[in-house]
Amino acid sequence: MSKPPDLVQGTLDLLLLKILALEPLHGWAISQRLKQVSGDELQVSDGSLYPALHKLELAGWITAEWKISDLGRRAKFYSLTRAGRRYLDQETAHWQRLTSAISRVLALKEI
Amino acid sequence: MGWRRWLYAIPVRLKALVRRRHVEQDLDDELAFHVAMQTRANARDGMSDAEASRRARMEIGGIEQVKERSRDVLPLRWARDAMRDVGYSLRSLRKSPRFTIAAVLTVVLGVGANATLFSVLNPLLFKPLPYPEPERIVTVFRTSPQSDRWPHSMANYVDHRARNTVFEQLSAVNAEHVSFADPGQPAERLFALRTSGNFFAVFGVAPFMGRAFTDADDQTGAEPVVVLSYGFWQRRFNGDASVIGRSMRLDGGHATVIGVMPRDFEYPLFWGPIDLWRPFAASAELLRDRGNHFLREFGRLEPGVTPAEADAAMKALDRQLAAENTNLDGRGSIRIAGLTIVDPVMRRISTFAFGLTFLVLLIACVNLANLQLARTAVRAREFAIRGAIGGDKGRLLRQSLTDSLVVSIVGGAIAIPLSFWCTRLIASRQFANLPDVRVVLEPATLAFAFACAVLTGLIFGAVPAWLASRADINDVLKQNPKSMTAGRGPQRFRQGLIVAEIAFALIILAGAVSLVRGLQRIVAIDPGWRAEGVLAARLNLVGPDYAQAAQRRTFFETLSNRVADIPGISSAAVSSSSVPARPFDTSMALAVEGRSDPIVAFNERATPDYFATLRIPLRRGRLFTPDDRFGRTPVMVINETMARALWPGENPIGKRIGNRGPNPNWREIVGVVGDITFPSFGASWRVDIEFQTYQPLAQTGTAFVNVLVRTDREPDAIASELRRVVSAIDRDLPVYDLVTARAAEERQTASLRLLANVLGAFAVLGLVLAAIGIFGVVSFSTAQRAGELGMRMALGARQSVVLWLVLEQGVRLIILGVLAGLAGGLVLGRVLSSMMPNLPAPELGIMLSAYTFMVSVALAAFFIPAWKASKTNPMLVLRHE
Repeated sequence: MSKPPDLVQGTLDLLLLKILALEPLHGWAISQRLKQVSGDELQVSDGSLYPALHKLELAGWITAEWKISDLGRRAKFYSLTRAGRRYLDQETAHWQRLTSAISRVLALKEI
Repeated sequence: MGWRRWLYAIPVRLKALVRRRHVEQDLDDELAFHVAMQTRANARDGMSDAEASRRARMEIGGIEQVKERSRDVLPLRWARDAMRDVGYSLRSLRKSPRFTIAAVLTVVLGVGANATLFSVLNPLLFKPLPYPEPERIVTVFRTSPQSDRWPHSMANYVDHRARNTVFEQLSAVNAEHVSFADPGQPAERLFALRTSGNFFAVFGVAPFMGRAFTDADDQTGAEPVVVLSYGFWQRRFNGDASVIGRSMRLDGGHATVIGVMPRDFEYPLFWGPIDLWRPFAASAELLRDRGNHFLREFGRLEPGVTPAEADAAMKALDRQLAAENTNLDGRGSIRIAGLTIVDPVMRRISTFAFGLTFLVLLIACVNLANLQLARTAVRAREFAIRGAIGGDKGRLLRQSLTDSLVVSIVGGAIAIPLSFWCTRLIASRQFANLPDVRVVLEPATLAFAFACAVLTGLIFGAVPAWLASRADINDVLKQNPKSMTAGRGPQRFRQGLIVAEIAFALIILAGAVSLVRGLQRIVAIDPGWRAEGVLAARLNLVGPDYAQAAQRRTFFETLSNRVADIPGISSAAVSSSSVPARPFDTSMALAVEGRSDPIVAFNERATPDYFATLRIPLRRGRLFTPDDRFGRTPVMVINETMARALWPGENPIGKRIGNRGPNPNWREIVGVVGDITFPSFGASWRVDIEFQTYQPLAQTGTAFVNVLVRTDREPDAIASELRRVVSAIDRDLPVYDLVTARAAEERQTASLRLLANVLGAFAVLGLVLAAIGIFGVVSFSTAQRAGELGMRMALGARQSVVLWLVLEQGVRLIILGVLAGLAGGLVLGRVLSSMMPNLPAPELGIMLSAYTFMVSVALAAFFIPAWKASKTNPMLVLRHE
């Protein structure tokens, strides 16, 4: 069984922004959502999640707010800012261009 | 487009910087929430509570590491870390006050000593001269077989200036005294520089007010003009701007004030306070004079010309001139030297002293490294544990460095005001009589002290930290905290430090002792005359009343007789030089009958009682008598050294010496007296004062004279009577520079004595620091071996055996240190004796006692803790393990 590949540099940011684009979430919920949507293909350790979230927050792409979670405990909820949404669109387009280019190269038939 | 994000980003960043504790709390809460949620989820999957919690923590991969990585993301991490490191250092330093006090004190002493010496020496050694492009200004000396700093004749200067290819400007200078008298005011003697018209151009300094004179003012027969110094303008004219264009009466003539130079231009250290400058406006006769050497030449080199090139070019020019002019001594030459404030010997001694102080700082560094090493040894376990739970090693190294830097900066902060105070003390005590040496604390000194402190911190912090960080975590953890022996690396290092410390201390000692003893001996040198009870004063016989030599001779006669009549005066004399108020200031080139090579000799013209007044002993022949008058056979008295050098094994009495040139005016030698010298000349050699000649004042005469009296009364009482006697002869004649010979001598040797005192203090400081350091390290490392020694004794080793075990190692280190110190001291001695050839060799006794002191301190440092260790009950030590 091969190890799941590491996330390509910067793609974690993209995933996090995308997840938060759907709805504001706290850290644990984000980690659950990540596992849910990517299956076991993409493995993000919880240890990398938080530094990545804090980096996005410092960049101003997402913003955080302490709210009471559904379990009655205080939790830090992250949500996308307007600048973050535009950044996400831009990065998504960039990502698609990149992957389609790579796919085209990989689709070349050997003679 | 992305500007909007800053609306969010900036507040978050600011908060991260300002409300650090809050951010940390958020981080904790967030992670705790995550773990709680994960634990719940795990429990729902059917895990036991404990297992659920454990798994949750495991998945996140170490709460502390996550926090650390999140902190990495935060801005200005290094600044926050530094602040935290400093905070931690301050706390831990507070917790070990003994280390802190010892370390800070060491920094204070080391840095303070260096900063003090720096502020004393900075103006002499390092500060550039206060002129634009000072490196282009040089002094041009004439050399002769006896002197390498001989002045130039006017004709030579004219040729040098016209025919050189290396100077942008070449000027000539002669220092002179002028008498300044306003109608109805007592006459005042001023110190003036007679210069060529381009003098100010050489130094590149513009006047403060009015204009400086130029070559046009320097023409033969030009209207006489003067430029005033700022100090004189303030003192005499209260800074009145209308002084420009005013006429001043100088030496009976008139001159127009055309300008004032800026403040401090009169104070370059090498010529002392100056009242005014005026151009030569030399007569046609003087311009052709090649025999009278009285000018100093200062030149500004053409851009790009080095002093060495200029030296070669001027030597070549001098050879041409010698070929063209038969009356120019072909054995002389030209020498070019950079412009410096202190003479080269003094400069070298000062640099040397500075080197020694730096060694004191080095000892301080070694001490601190030792202390820090001892501390890191104690903290090795703490470091290891911190490393094991995720603190990174770089951080540990940095923490140790921060500790040292905090200590050294605190020490430096204390040292700076301290050195300021010391500098003030030195300035007020030692240079009180030297208005031209001003010791001040300035930004350069502060920067230097700060650099010293930081350097010290880096040296003493980095090495032990590096050693500690190199240690293997597992080894350290396995080791018992009170382990039997220290790790091999630190131990080697510590032994090296002990050897280095002994060696450094001995080198400082050797250098300082020989320098201090040398300086002391120079100061205590037998001058060949007796200063006690001698009072000197200056008179200028200028103006119409003294225009004729005969008038002046009458005055001398009257003066000597009347002064000798003052009660309490045993003898009185009048002489031409300012000895002993200042050392030899007049020398002349002379011809010896029957020899072709000219000699250069100190020249004094004096009344017969001169020798009795100064107590210069007669060796051969006779002294002057009142019969050696004008019109009788011209006679001369010479010193022993000259007699021996010119007529070895012969009787010099009856030989003749005269002026150089076609008209020698031979003088017959009638007597030989003892050599005289001045302590301030002891350090440097001035060959032109080895030969000393005396002529009767009655046969020569001069306008500027020195009155000398010997008295057994209070000099102050005599001073007022001397003034009274002079004003009784001529009411308008000012008496100045009234000084006792003792005071004059003290003033001349002030800087030598200062240097000796400062050096002595530093040597003691170095020795004490080294002793403390050695004692500290050795006793610490021996105390660390207490367990091992106890174990040995428990196994049956006798006390003496255990003692010897420690001492043996100590003796080995001491021997190594002494050998290194001896070698260093020898090298230093070589350097020193090449710098000052007539410095006496250090006395064996002093060196031996210094070595003994050092070795005993080291031995005691080894012995005392070992003895204590051997005394303890082995069982106690073992139980303690």
